[in-house]
Amino acid sequence: MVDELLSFIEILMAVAPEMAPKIETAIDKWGSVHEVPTDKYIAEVRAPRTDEINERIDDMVDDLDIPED
Amino acid sequence: MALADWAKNGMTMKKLLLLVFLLCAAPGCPFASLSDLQVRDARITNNVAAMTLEATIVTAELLFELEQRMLVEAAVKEEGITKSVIRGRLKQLRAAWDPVWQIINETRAVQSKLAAALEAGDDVAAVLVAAEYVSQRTELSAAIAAVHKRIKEKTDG
Repeated sequence: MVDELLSFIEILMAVAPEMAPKIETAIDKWGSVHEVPTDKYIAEVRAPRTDEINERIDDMVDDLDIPED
Repeated sequence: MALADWAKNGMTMKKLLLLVFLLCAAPGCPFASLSDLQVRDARITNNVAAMTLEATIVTAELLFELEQRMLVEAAVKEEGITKSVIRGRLKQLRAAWDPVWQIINETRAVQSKLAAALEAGDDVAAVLVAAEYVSQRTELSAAIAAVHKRIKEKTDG
């Protein structure tokens, strides 16, 4: 599982170097798995941030130097 | 009176046991009881599950963004491509991801149910929900693996 994750990160870094800061954030989050709270139950996991991602991609398309239609 | 003096003055085994019992019954007892340890284990199990699920969500988000970027970058190389065509393709790609987000949201719901059952001390419910969670996680792993394979094929091809 860890090997698969590392190979996935390598591919990601190779094909999308501009995503490196996001990947580093993800790795930091992954590292925080080792600090498991023992004093309370984590009752809810956050929802995926798809709107945020779609907004970034839509902005990218808006900025392209190609015709609208 | 110091403990040693008390012992010298004829502390019996019964008194010692009573002392240990009173210490452990008091709030902030330094010795965790068996039930305290079980609660701690349950919390760790639940919290590792929650944090692993969050790490999976981060991976899914990265793959989702990567696949969209790849689509845009490949499209701009085409002759006569327009923004509206790219937007149409992105819409299709986002729709293809809907089942993944649905499985993720179902897994999040089961994880919340697990935390609630553990918090309530309902052992039977917790065991049943934990089994449901394992099955849900397996479905989620399969969905992520399928997306990963699709993207890898695009990068290799």
